[in-house]
Amino acid sequence: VIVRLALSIFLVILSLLGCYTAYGAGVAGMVARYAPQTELLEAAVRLAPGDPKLHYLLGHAYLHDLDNLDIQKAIQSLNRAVELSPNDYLIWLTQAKALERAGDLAGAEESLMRSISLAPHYFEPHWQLANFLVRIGKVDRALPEFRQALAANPEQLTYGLELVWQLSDGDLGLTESIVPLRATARLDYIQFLFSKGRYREGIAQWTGLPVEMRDGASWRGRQFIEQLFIAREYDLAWEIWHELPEIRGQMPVKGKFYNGSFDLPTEKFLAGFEWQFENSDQAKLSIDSLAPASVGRSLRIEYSAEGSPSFEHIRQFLAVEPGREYRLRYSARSEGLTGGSLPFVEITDARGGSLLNSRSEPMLLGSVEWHQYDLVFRTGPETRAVRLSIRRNADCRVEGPCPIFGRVWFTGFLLEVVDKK
Amino acid sequence: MSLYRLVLQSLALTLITSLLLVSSQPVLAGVKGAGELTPSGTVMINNAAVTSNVTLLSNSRIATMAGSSAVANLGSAGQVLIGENTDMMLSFEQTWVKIELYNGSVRVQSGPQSVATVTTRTCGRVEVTSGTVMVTDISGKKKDEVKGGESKEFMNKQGFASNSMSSPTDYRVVTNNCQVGAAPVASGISRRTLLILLGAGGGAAAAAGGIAAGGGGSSNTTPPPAGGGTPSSPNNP
Repeated sequence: VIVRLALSIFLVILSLLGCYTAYGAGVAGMVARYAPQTELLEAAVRLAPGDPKLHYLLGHAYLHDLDNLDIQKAIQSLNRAVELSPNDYLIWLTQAKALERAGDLAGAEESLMRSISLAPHYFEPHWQLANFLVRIGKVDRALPEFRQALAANPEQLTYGLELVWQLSDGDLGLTESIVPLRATARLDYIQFLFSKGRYREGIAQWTGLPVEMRDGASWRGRQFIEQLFIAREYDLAWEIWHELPEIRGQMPVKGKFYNGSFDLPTEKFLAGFEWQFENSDQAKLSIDSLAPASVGRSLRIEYSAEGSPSFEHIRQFLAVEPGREYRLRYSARSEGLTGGSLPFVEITDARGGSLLNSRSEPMLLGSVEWHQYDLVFRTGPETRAVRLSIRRNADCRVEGPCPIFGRVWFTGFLLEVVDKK
Repeated sequence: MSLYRLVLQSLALTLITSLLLVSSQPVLAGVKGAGELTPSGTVMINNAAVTSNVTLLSNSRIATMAGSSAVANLGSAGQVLIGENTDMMLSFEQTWVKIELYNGSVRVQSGPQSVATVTTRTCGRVEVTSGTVMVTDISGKKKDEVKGGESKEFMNKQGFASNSMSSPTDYRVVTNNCQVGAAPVASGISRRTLLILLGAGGGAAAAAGGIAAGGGGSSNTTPPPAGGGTPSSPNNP
């Protein structure tokens, strides 16, 4: 009986102890998961003093909770967490932060190195060490750490580049040294260079990429072209554009029209040196098989425009040389074209927008069969690209509306240098 | 005499050589103002997204999105808690912090020997937890003092500047729409209540809900989970 009684008491005590431990661990776990606030964590640590996660969270809270900042307590908690779980690289990382704030730089570096030894291929330990080294002025040592971190996870590349750029006063060699080899990182680096206005260096990076890598990222190429157009760096834009996989096969020539006879399929609003269209209900654009004998197809514009609309139907940018004389040739025809203001071809300096040709209206009124037109113009000393547009202005030189009706065709656009170098 | 000259010459040569060596190295600017920023959620520094602890240089523009925040530790200059939907410019050195708050909220804890200044370009509220803050309207004519435990609204549409008058000072500046009255401070279950709940047992879940609703003024920067920190594979995304 006595043995039974003793055994029962023992079992009851054991169950109570089990319940208490389970309660403590359960509540502590819930606090850790749902409410990692300092006071609650302190209470939770009392309930489960052997849980490294709680000590870690409490240490973290002492570092970040502005109402309860306490570096010494943070260090104590994190030291305990490290004792209980010495193979957790995150705890070492947080301990390093606490030690750094307490001014123990050697201790912080040691903890960071320990974290790296536990997770040598992870982003975070290398990233934290790199940032720590920057803060203590050892930027040279930080660079390879940045590179290793970004090789594991290039998500932070842009900020890493920004940081090294500022610290090195814009030194390209040092900034580039942290860029990992993978394609997306190289492309992000080009984007970074563009954001700093270093377009030429960006293009050098682009052309240095393997062809397969460039082809796989042609949409990024288009983005770069768009940015180069905005920056009016047409020569550089051409460098990317003429090597795009969808363009390369057509062997475009700098200073010549691309698809001047509308033989190739055309897409709207592509940044580059292709035709760019602006369609509208009042002036419908289409590609027509009607063309002069030697030419493939043509652009048809069908006007049904009441009121006084203005249009820039189509445009193409051409990379040209400055201070040269060029001749533009094209063919046009019309059917039942009526209006006080007719369509015309205009050439402007892409950079400044100044008019380079006389903008003369072709004799297209009524119905006119295919006729070839010549326009001679000279580029300015700063001209790097011209913009050819087919336009229609609402300028009838009389009061009231300025409508236009009928159809007109354009094709056979050619550009040639007139003067000799 | 000749030995003296020889020593002098070698010293000069060493000096010149070291100067030449230093000048041929890539120039790395000194890290004059370098702090640390801990982001939580979507945080941008100079238009670059940061998702992990980063070094923060002076003259940085910081923006947080909805539901995001950040803590900037500026060493002896102090700490700055950046609330959600905030856009600001942060400059600092060892003894001062300057914040141009375009929008949102910041809580500044100036260091024991540093001065903190927060300027806004719109109306706002200053809440002082400890210390004293002098608030001057943008014309510099109207001055007002806000002491520890006080909170005051400043309705000048052009904005105001708040300067810590004591060291250390802990205060918060919140911009608000000049047309609308300031929103009341969110109420929730107090921490004391939470602790009582915890003590009573089984209240942890309720506590968690209460904290999520209340928030309070402390950082909501949550740490990465420990325990999963023993690596087995690379951390590639």
